[in-house]
Amino acid sequence: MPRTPLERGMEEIRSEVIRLGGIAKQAVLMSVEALKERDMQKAARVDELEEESDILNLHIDENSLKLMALQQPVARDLRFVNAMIKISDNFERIADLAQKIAEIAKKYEERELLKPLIDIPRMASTIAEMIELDLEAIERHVSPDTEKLVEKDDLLDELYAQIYNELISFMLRDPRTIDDATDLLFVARYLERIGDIAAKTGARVVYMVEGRRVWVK
Amino acid sequence: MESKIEVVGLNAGFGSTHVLKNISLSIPRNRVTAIIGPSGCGKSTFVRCLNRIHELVPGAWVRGKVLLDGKNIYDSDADPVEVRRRVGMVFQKPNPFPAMSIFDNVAYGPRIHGVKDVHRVVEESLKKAALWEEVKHRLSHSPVSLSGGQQQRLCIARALAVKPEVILFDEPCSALDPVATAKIEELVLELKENYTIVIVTHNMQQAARIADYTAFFLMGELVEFGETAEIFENPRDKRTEDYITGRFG
Ligand SMILES: Nc1ncnc2c1ncn2[C@@H]1O[C@H](COP(=O)(O)OP(=O)(O)O)[C@@H](O)[C@H]1O
Ligand SMILES: [Mg+2]
Repeated sequence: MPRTPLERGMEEIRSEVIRLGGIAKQAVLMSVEALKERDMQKAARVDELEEESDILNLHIDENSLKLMALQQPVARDLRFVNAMIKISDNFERIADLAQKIAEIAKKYEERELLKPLIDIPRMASTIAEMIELDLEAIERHVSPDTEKLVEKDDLLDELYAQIYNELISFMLRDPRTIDDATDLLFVARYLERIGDIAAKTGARVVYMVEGRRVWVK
Repeated sequence: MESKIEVVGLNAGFGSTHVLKNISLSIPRNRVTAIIGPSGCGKSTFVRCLNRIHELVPGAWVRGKVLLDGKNIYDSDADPVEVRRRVGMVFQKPNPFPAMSIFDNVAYGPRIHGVKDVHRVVEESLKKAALWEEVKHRLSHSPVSLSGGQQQRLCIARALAVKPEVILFDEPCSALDPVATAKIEELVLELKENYTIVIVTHNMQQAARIADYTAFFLMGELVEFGETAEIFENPRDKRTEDYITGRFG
């Protein structure tokens, strides 16, 4: 049981951030499923998750500011609160990008995708693993395995490059595929961005825990 | 960062009590340096070694060097009276001389040092201490009628009147309310334009607000010294972190 009002406030913020991270992860997985399965209910669910993430992020922001004003945290406590504000924004941004993917999914209610999705779902599950690494570190207040994060981020970059080349060749062969290929290209691009954000989140946790700056990109 | 005072291997104590243990530290010129640490860790003893008033306590001893502009104040040819003029001090409890008028409190030092134009020095010092407007019509009154914050600013004026280069503050706000405290803090920030300031404080937020550099003392040792922002965001030593986050002991 935390002892001081500061510690209680920090624990509350920590659990909200963990919940927000879970929402972001779910939004990413759900948005790619919505696209792959052309499931409009799942796409609509992503919208809901995005809205939840906005509200939660705002709440974390308010709580953190209040804690800073009233408890004046310093040193590791200051780094913690600052990290929570930033990480909360990161997760909210991830949910935003997932919603953009869901928007693209909604265009395919009545028609087929250009091609069956293989690498894009792989990107999504890799992201889910990265967010889990972040969340576990936040939960246990330890540095995440940054090597693993970098490895996964590199994998995302590779998959993105692969998808990019594949889609460009589609477009070159048949310009009528440009619309659909561009959609998938955007999806891959969003996922690649999400991977960056998840990796940066891990680096932020390292600073929070150890006061040491690391670069993951 | 150019240093005004260079402390090298300073040890000090009272009789068999060894209080300060091998302190080395550079105090930057025209900056505010805060000394923080738990009660009894030697903060007061440390600042009192910087102007040779520690040795005035019977049984007190000092070893090591304190270089003021490069010259050791403990050299045999150094004049302690001159050291104390150059390095002034303001104490925790406002301690104006109660039997003297406000004017005479400030004029006392300059008169001893044979200053000619005492009136001008008193006015200047009271202005620098941001007290002139409040007392100019009652200079002949006793300081007893002043508020705690005003008395403390009077003590600052008294310290300024002998034209020091360094001013040591030993917990100058601990007897003051928040408004009076804010005035003293503002004053300290103004004074650093022309003076080098060392301030002992047990108020972490005060150190964070006004100090450029912060030194953390623990049981007579200097644990950490660095830029205040760094100490309060990312201290290097676990003991510093535990102390400033209130998780000590
Ligand atoms: N006049 C004195 N005679 C003997 N011991 C003293 C005297 N003044 C202070 N001390 C001891 O020296 C240590 C440091 O005191 P001080 O410098 O006043 O600490 P701080 O200012 O950090 O509270 C304490 O243990 C205190 O008991
Ligand atoms: Mg003291």
